[in-house]
Order: sequence, then C-alpha cells, then structure tokens
Amino acid sequence: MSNIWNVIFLNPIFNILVIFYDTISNLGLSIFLFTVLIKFILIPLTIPSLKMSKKQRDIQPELNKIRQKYKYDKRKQAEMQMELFKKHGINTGAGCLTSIVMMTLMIAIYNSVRMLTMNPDLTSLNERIYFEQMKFDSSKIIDTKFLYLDLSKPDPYLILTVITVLLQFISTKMVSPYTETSEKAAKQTPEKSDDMMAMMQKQNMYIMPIMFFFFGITLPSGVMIYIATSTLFQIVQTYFFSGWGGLKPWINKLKFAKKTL
Amino acid sequence: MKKLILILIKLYKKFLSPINFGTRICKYNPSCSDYTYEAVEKYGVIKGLLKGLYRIIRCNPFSKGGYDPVS
Repeated sequence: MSNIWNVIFLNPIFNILVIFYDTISNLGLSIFLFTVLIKFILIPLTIPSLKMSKKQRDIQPELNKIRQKYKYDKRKQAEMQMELFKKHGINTGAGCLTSIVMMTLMIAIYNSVRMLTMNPDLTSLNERIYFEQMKFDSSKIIDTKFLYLDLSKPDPYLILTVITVLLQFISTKMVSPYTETSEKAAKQTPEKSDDMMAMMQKQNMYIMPIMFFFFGITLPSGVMIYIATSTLFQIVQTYFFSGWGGLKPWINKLKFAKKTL
Repeated sequence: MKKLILILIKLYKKFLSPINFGTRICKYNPSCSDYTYEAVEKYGVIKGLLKGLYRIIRCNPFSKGGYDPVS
C-alpha cells in the first residue's frame, strides 16, 4: 500500500521539487516556485467549484425565500432548491471525488517538502530520484537557510506563522457566503438544524486560524512556506474568479472609513 | 460495527467535512456523507459502504448531480 502511494503520488511530486532545488539551489525559493507551479496545474480542477460558489452566493436571497416558504416541508424545500439551482445552471461544487483527489495531492506535496527539509538522509532521498544527474552527492548538505529562517525548524519569531494565519483567515472568509444572511434564514427554520450549520460555519472560521497557528509553532518553516504560498495563490485565484466574496462587507467598511477620514 | 461506522460518519460531518468551512463540494442531495449514513443504516455495513463508495465515484465533474436519495 505504501509502495503504491510512493510510486504514484509521492515520487513524481518529490522529483519536481528536486528539479527546482537543483536549478536554483535555494530551498525556500524552490518551495515557493514549486507551490506556484503545482497550483497553476490544479487551476482547471478548482475553477468549476469557484464559479459555482459565486453563482450560489448571487442567488442567496432567492434561496432564503424558498427556505422560508417551505419551512415545514423539508422535502419540498430541497426540491425547490434543486429546481432553482437547475434554472441558474448551478451544480454545487466539482463533486466529492475531485476533492478527494486534491486532498491526496496536497498530502503528497506536504510530504515531499517535509522530506527535503527534515530528512538529511541522502541515500533514502536518492532512491526516489529518477535521473542519475539529479541525485545528491553523498558529501552534499542540503542548505536549509532561507532569509532569517532555518527551513527544517519552526519559525522562532512567529512572523511566518502570523502571516499564514492571516492569509488563511482571509481566504476562508472569501469563499464563505455572507454569514449574516444565511444565519438569519437558518433561524427561521423550525427544526433549527440549519441553525446549527450556520453556527458551525462561523465557529470554524475561527478554528481554522487557531489550527494554523499551532501548525506554525510545530511544523518546519519549509512546510509553512508551502502552506502560506498556496493560501496566497488561493486568495488571488478566488479574487479573479469571484471577487472579494464574503470579505465584501469588510472591504466596503474600509472604503467607507477612508471616505469619512 | 454498524454503530461505529455511523459514529465515524457523524464525526466526519461534524469536524472534517468542507461544509464546515463554508464550501459545499457535493453535487448531490442528500450529500455523499448523508447518503452513506442512510445506506449503512438501511442495508448494513458492507452493502451500505459499497453503495456510499459508488456514490462518491459518481460525484465527479462529469456527472449530473441533483436529487438522489437512497433507494
């Protein structure tokens, strides 16, 4: 099982990262460029779901109307919802299979970054490398210094950690629908089951940054560079496809504050 | 066994599912996890999980999605 995992997912991705490191011999920069490349390759997989979440956000008012109208008939409610989605050509998300594949890829990327930063055992690394000329000499020491960081250790000054947490927060906020409207709509359903969901969504918006803070103080900063880069890429990508999204109220507030100053 | 699986699905829904983070990825209604839960309840562990797996495979960018209850 672990062999299949190595051959299909881990080794190809690890080799791409090694190519970057061999050509620029700066590990921090390689991880950054490597992440951007991988994210570019994955764009086609994420576009449909991004477009759909924007569309879904656009019809939120209509959706709330349906929720209220059929609040005692869950089945009818689901039916009407589906019909509305059909009318607007909405198919929520790319599907579960796509997400599972993406998650698997992400774990492989994470592992390769970790292997290069944390595993100084060159022979085991060399076994994974496809081409003779790319293999590390036994005398070679992988240089893990990048700016002020040692990529194999957590960031001692927490700068990278705080940046990652902020980016993560912005990115989650952007893809989530306006919580206030969905919360209000949820409160009006009699079973309060949707209410739970809206609340959980809100909770998790704060749980995620806390989680990433703990990642920041425990994981090697090389992995954190990967997480920060991919989150930044996510933000830019979301912005180009669906605008500021759930961040809009804040942006508006900012603009308003500027005007009044 | 059946109870364990059902609890695991519930835990997934509560803590792992992307719906917690504001994105609904499943194209179907009920969602793949709800579907699997119902299927396991109705048909038992083996057949239920197989049904759930088949549903996840169907839940890809090339399928239609929509209303699809456990039959």
